[in-house]
Amino acid sequence: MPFPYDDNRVFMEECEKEGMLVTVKKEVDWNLEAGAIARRLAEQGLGRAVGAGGTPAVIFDKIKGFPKGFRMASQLNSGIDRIVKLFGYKGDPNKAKSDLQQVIRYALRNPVKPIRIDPKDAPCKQNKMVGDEVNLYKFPAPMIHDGDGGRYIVGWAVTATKDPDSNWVNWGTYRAMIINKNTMSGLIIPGQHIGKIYRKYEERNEPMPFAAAICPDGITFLIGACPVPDFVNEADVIGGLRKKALPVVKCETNDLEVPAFAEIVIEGVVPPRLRAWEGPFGEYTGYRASPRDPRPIYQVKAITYRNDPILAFSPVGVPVDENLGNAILSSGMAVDTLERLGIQARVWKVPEAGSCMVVVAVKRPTPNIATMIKNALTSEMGQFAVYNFKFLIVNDDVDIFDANKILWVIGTRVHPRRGIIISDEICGPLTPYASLEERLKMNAPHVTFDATWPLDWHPSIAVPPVSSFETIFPKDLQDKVLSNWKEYGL
Amino acid sequence: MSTREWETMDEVLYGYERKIDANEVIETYIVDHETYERMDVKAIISRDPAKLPDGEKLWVRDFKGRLRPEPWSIKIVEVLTPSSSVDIGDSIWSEVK
Repeated sequence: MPFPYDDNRVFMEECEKEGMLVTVKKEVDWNLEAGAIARRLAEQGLGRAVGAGGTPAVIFDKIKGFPKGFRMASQLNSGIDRIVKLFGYKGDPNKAKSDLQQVIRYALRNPVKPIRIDPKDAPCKQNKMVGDEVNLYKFPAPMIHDGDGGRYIVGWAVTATKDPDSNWVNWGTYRAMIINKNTMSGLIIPGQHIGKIYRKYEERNEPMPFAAAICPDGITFLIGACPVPDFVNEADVIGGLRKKALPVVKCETNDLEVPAFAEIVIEGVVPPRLRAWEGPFGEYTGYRASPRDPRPIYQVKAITYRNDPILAFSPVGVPVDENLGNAILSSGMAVDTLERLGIQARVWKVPEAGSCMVVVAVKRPTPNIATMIKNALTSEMGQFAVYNFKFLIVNDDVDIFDANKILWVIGTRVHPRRGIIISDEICGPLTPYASLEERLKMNAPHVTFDATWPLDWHPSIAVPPVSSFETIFPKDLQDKVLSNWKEYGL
Repeated sequence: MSTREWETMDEVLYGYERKIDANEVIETYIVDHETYERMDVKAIISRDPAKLPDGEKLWVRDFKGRLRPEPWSIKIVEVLTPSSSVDIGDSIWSEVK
């Protein structure tokens, strides 16, 4: 079954047939070994397609200490080939990073509500543990990086929570580690949607119901990590991306709905004012920057799971890895945000920069355009400020998808006095350059690099011409060189 | 009786240095070295296993998560009830907040 994929297993089977996924039959240890293998795959693949130097996704078929059938998977979204396949994209692979940005923009305007299916038709209901039966250790939750604070069972997942004041149901990607057989603790940042919702429950001294759906379909996972606007249900946007309703099923112990084809669903409550030590965890920035800190706990009331469940995980670290898909979709959302404010621009949340840097190529710069763009993105896209700390604003001639060109622009166009704008902002505890104090207070300065040419510089006099093959030579000479290229013996 | 091995980290023991040196009972948490399951305990901890011969191995990670090459020793005096397995209140980082 082609796009859209309700079931990640179908996607994985097709990927395996097409050489984009390998099933490892050799026994692998959930304790660091699986994480190390997956991390090395990410670092060798760097987001590229398998046929272009990239590495495949992986399923670990036999896990040390676990019965046959309990499996792990990783790197499902780490190559552009898998992302293209996920979205059923048939266009030019070289344009996928740009073209797929339009898909999320379409989805935001054309949401499709999920469809609730009967539990008997939902694979995630094939097995149940309720109440005292709950045992998180039944699954091969990985110790991903040496020195992590625990076994992060919730990672490649979306966690559902509902705003107590409205019909807003948030599906977000948040990490949670096992404390004991029925308790997890997790990082909940106030600026995140889950943080905003949890705060409301905590102010009322009420527990917040949650449901974490592990290994849902790939689009759902990708959207969970994107800055979907407040009060917009991710499930509806996912339907928009799929152009078809996502099948969901109601939880056992609360009214939340989860993707029916998820591999494992952990449900329960996050009680108010209770904390447990959580972290640290090697994060998407490429560092283990967030200190261990008392963080909210997840009390697990029930777990449902598929036969032979696959626990997907992401050994995030030095880029590029699974941040590639997030870069595409988040950038599309940023383009949308800027357009609403009358700013025509292309955007790229640079995966090579640890997903912490956003490059914006603006068509028609206006006075203070860099500040305006930075403020627009961080204020209109609340969560953007938590994850993005560096902003680079360039003229429209720059290929923003080329990391080499980005470095070139930083090196050559940013004026040290007028081109660097520092602003105090919120941040997350994951911010590597922030001091320990700043990380815990969750505020640290951001920087905007204004690499646009000054408006009072005459374009044909003061702005230096770019010295490249395409810009510094006459067109007829370029054509001559290109047509004779093979004759040069090159 | 089989002995288990445990793990803790400098951050968790922060503030208990004097009591550890005096072989006094402290209330802390440890994780199973194999499963990483957490347990809240009252225990005596020694940096020198020879000084706590009836203790079990306690591996200690530094602030960056690196395991120290030599284990310490821990003698569990009391396993606290599961309901106490959550911390309420400020973290050790509160002094920099």
